[in-house]
Amino acid sequence: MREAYLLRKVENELRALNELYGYKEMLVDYLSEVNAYVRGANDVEIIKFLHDTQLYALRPDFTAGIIKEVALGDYYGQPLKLAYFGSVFRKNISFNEIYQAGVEILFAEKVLADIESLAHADRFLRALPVKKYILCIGTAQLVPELCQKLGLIESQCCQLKKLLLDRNFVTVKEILKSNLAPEDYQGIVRILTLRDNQEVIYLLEKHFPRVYHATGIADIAQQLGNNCILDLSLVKRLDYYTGIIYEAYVADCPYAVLSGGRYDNLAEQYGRQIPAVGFAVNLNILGTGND
Amino acid sequence: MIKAEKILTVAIPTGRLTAQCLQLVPGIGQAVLKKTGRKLMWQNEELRIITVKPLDIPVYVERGVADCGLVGNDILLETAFEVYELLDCGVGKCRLSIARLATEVDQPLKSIASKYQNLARDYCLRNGLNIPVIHLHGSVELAPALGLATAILDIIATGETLRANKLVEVEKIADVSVRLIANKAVYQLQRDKIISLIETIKIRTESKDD
Repeated sequence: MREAYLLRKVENELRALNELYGYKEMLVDYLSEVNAYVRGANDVEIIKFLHDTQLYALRPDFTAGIIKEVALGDYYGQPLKLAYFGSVFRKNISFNEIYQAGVEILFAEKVLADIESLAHADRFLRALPVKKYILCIGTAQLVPELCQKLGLIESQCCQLKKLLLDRNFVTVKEILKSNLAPEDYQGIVRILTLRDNQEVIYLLEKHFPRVYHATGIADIAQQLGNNCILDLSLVKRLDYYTGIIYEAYVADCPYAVLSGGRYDNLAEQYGRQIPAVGFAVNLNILGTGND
Repeated sequence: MIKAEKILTVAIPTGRLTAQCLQLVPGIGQAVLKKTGRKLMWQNEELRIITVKPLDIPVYVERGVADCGLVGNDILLETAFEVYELLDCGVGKCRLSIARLATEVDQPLKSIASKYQNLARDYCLRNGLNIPVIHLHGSVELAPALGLATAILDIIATGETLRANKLVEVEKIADVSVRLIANKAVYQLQRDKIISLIETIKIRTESKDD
């Protein structure tokens, strides 16, 4: 049980932002057949239960449920801007209920939609009663391209992804050093560790031109606010991201409070192609004395 | 909890690495080295130092009680906490290895005793060994001599303890040294301070890390 006053106050501010910027609030099912949620690395966190002979699960996030509804529904072509509020359920060490607010922009394949989702994430973060925040932006396309450059096989790629997830720069640098020419090594280490948006973009164009052009990262960087930085060492645990990825940290909270990105292939399991980008912010932090 | 714009809190391991780790920390580290007593937290204008059990350091850092920590990568390999591993400090070098009684090297492996139960289980899994892993908290080298296990997985620095207990190293699992770890949020929100600490440690250890 937690006091709801601050949560509701912030929720109302976020709801007003959604209305102002044209996001339609949706109610999403709490539970579904487990297949709707199964998509890779975080399967173990899904809370499942058997009813008769059917395996069901509590929603571990909103994105999968929204994609299922839209893919199976009568939605075609027109960009959809959807918003939601509610709990998601995951099992780590214990069972966790996390109260989230988030938005998804569907049927949106352009860089403009990426920028729009980042801008809305920035608005959400400004509305939180926190002293300081930072929004870190990367791309899911960098690791596959890096693995190709390094000539790594699939299992080695998984290892490299895990190392980047832990920011284990010690081992990452060892791998880069043993597989790259000195000039490439220096440049790529700088791409992964620098905090200078312009320099990172310059180096990205030089070392990973395909990623540079495919992500439109230069356009995105131009629109970034003061609290946004490019962090190309950013890696997501979930495999479904296909383009821009981002997460945000706030003072007084040791974990990322906001997480999002582009996921163009999630609807493939329903035989649809729905380019989409979105994020969720964890509002549980408002119950931990952050006000 | 982490506070914005505050001084960094660095967790230092108690035990064999304390002195080496304190020497890496600017200013206050040297001051703490000279002090005795049971105090576990020290502070000056730049840094706060806390001393905690090595296995607890990733917990403190993951949960943001400490902003960063110095800890052997044996602990990081054994545990699965979400912290960032930023620098090999190049001190406290040793290795994680399998060791056996010199007289039993050719015998089948029937059990492994270790403080590192997860790493021991991984070793068994990788080698297709369906054998018990016996979790001990110390004096692991005793286990083969007393018949508790046919092998141990432990850290080896000079090999003196092994020799004293008639053991030989049969397989290296990993090289071990002290690593600088950081909390994810602190790494993003207080990057300048973290980079400054990294640079200081690099200078002190003349680390070749580039």
